[in-house]
Amino acid sequence: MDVKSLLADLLEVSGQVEAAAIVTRAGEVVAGTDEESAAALGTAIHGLAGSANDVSGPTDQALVQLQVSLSGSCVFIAQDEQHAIGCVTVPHPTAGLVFYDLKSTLRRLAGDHDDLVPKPIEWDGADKPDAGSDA
Amino acid sequence: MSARRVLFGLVAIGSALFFWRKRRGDRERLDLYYADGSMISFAPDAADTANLFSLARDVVGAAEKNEA
Repeated sequence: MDVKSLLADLLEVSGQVEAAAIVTRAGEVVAGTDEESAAALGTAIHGLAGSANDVSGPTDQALVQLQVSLSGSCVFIAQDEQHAIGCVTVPHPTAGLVFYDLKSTLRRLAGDHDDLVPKPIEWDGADKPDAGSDA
Repeated sequence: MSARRVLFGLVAIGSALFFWRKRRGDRERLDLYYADGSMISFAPDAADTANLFSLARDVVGAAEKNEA
């Protein structure tokens, strides 16, 4: 699945997300929800993530996600070793859901599948082996 | 005390709670979440993170251009 499809799915699944972009940890803009301004949004997200990474945390653990609540909207960023994904949402979003959707998108970008989504199984056309065995 | 007064008091308390929560929810803040589950929250006037609010506004500005 290509990156644009991932972002399209994110917008479709999360009605609270207004715009989003994915950047590499090095700052290269991978994709945005709007092609024309993806570069500006991605660069801004990379700048915010980079500065947030410099803030000393309570432990030596890595920063994995952040939320900035502003008066008219919220900014969310989730990141892994390879990429950072950021989005702008409506005011007062359900933060847990937004973080979940961002991290799911990151996992799918990394090639992993969401464990909560049932995986398709192959069916060879035969009945289940256990079906009717008790009868 | 009449039931009317009790009802009035409950409505007044409920309204006060509603507006207090609304004002509290409108406050700007920055939450940083780390890999071990720890989290720090900053107000806009925190010395270490003042530039992060400015950068977040840049993100919102870029997104608004996105929509325009």
